[in-house]
Amino acid sequence: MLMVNSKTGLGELSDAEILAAVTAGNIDAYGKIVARYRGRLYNFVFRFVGDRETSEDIVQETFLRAFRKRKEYRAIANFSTWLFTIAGNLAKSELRRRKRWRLFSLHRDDDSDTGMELPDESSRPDKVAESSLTDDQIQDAIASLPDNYRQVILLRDVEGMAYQEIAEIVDCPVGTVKSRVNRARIKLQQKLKNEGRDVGLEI
Amino acid sequence: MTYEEFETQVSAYVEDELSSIEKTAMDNQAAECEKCRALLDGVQGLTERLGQLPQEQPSAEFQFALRSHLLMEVANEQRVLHRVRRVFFGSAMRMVSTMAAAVIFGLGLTSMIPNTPESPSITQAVVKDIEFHLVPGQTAPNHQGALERLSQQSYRLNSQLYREHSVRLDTLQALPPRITPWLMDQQGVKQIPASYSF
Repeated sequence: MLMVNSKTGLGELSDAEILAAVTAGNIDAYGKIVARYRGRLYNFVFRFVGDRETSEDIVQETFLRAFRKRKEYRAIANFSTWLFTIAGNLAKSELRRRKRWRLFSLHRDDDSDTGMELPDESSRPDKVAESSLTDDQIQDAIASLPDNYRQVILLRDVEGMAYQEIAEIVDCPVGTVKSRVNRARIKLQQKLKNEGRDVGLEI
Repeated sequence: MTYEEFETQVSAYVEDELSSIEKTAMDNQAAECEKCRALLDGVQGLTERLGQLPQEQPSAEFQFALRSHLLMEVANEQRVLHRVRRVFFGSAMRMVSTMAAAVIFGLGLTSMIPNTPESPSITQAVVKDIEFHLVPGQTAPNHQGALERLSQQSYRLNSQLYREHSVRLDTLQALPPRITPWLMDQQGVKQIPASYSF
């Protein structure tokens, strides 16, 4: 069995030890790595791209890429950092691809001159009318942030990572990461407040 | 402290990363500025709310799909490894065969090249050996008997020839000296060289 296998006795081992076992030929041990990180990775990617199917594809690709490059792992200090770096890059690529497609679609709409306009999701009456902020509303607000802000606030406030680890993932100085997290929180708070929701008071 | 300054440090305040002096300054600012206080409350609440978001999990199909992809990945790796081995060992075998053919060809070519003075041919060695035996006084002791026998046989043959012609020679010697060479020539009698006698 390739995935989680309780009989392999790898439960107490560190990521590096499991990776060493995988590199030595124990492919089943990789299932332990998958079991250990699939939830956190999926949660991070889902909050990043906002789509379940795409998120599963990205997480799957992340694990496959890490498996392909498992022999190069010794150069990397923290395996989880490595995984989140791969996943973050794939998620950002997906968002860029979507932006290009959206731009292309808007151009096509202009050319066709159909007069159709994209609805503003944030001002939908059914959403505004809700008395308290739902998870989906927060998710929508997160999705409205620039990619760089979105990535760091998810890693910090949703995944609970240390600034140093985030700095390694996004390949930026710690000071820059702290500044981005602060800006992201302020923007997100203002975004929710503009919708008439002061999260600090209502939640 | 201005609102902008308060804004830049609001996260540090929420995460308790400020010194006591900085924290007091922030508290004072929040007490004086309603906008600052609203920002602080908003960021504090948001941070807590984000940490409470439910942990999303992938579907059950995700496990199966990833497992299938990993198995395919392993199969691909093994296929590539097998191909590399086949190519490598195939080329190694071809290299060994080529080297063996080159060695055989080289040996054949060497045998066709004339010997150099440093390595005399068999013919030259035999000639030298013959010359060695023909030089008087240098005959090897183990060859002395053979040469002696050869010498004796030669002597006997010489004596026999001499006896066959001795009668005619005696007759001719009785004739005048001028006629003797002519008659000897006519009879086919030849003078026996002095070197024939031992």
